[in-house]
Amino acid sequence: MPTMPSPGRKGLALAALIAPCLFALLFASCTIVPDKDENADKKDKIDIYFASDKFNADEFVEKAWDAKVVPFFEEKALPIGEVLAALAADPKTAGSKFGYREKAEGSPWNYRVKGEGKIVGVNTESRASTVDVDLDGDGVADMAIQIGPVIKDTGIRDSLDFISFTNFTNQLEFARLSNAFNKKVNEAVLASLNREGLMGKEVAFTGVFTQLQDPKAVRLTPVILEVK
Amino acid sequence: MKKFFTIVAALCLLLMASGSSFAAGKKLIVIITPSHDNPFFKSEAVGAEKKAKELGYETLVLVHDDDANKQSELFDTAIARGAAAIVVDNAGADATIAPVKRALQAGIPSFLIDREINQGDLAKAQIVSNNYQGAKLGGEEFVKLMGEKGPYVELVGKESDTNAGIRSQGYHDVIDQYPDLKMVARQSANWSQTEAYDKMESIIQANPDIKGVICGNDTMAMGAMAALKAAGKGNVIVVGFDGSNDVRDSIIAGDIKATVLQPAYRVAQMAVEQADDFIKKGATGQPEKQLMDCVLINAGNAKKLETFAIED
Repeated sequence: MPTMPSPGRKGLALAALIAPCLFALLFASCTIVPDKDENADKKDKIDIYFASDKFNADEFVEKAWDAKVVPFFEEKALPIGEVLAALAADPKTAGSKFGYREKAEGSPWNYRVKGEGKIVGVNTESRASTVDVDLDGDGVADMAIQIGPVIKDTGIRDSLDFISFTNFTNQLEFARLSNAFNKKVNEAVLASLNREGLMGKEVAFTGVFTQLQDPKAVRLTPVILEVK
Repeated sequence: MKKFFTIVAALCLLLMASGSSFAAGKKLIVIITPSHDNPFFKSEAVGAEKKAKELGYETLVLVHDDDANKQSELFDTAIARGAAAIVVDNAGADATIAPVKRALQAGIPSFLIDREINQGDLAKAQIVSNNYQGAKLGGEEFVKLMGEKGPYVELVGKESDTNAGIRSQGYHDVIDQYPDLKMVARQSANWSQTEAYDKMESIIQANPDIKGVICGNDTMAMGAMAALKAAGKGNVIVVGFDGSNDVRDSIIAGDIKATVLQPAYRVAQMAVEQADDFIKKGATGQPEKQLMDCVLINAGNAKKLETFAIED
């Protein structure tokens, strides 16, 4: 790393000028804005290099969701029992048989699955809420389904074969796309969910989970979710 | 007469250049990175060079010191030497578009590692760490270490580098969900250890009660930690990004608490493998832009880390 800034870096001087103003703005907003909106406000005030509004991720997702994403999952989803059995048998080879990833190395497999089960656990203390689902009727949870509002992973974006990082200007756009998909899950799949009394209910789902370091940790992001 | 000498000198240079690259019938891969003062970039250069030699190439390793003008000259050197491919960790997402284009027009494919450029269809590959995924890992660990509350500082990387922006975005997408975590200062230290030390010194004076510092890379984390220790605040939580051996040792010593490993060594090797495929077959067989996932490093697995790779 250079210890001195390269000559002619006007940006640095500019940043030095802007930074104090930015902080001033930040503090100003923190004192006025009520707690609830503080985060959204704080985020808007932070200047992220290369962030631009040229690409509207929400609009992209809005156009794609009903027309392409939902039909895609209806077509591609495999029975979850089959996939979990393959993962249990050999986590190293399950991916190439049942999973999808855009390139050969360095990113996890995504499994597009569907199935039915019974809710045997509800975890709603965290904003990243989940329900535990028993698939085989033994009363023990076999997987978790994310019910938001915070949705982890980028499984939806990364399991669509018509979406490629190559077609996006930079990582910022691509990150924003994954957030927009997760936001859409909240709106289209989870908004109508009655979060009270989920325990013990039968559930049918279609969605995606990403193979994590622990192959037994199955955290599904739903694309279709029906609580009976 | 002067002109004559210039021409002779130029011819000699040309002969030397072609002589060296054709003497053994070997093709040349030019490897360009930022300064090797940061072990991250050195690891890239070492990884790329080793793989290129394994595959039978001659190599030329150069550094641009994050200076876009210097980088442009290095591209001209590569073009003049008739390189078969350029592997580059570039000096600016916008400033690098022109030299990559120039090389392409001269028939030389570029393979980008670590940092993107803001235009597609120019480089044959852009292999970058999944900085957003990595930053979210680092952010989640930071939130946990902070107990979800307290005043904190963010040190951001160099403005001309997309990675500075995306990491900051990833951190904030996680941290801003916790209203009791208050950011009291956010400054760029341009990826630099000494600059981080200096900035941190004055931030501590203005905010003596800070509980944590989240940094866009490991060298800045090292600088921040040193300043904190000098101020008798060695218990402040510091989190970095890169997975350098320096930070690994600091984690083992109980100073810095966590970092995020970017598989820099492997990425550099992949770029050379894809360059080799392109030279031999005319295609890499991979999409142009490729993300490589990062791994969280903390006290639990720091011992397994060595030169930007983790043992399984």
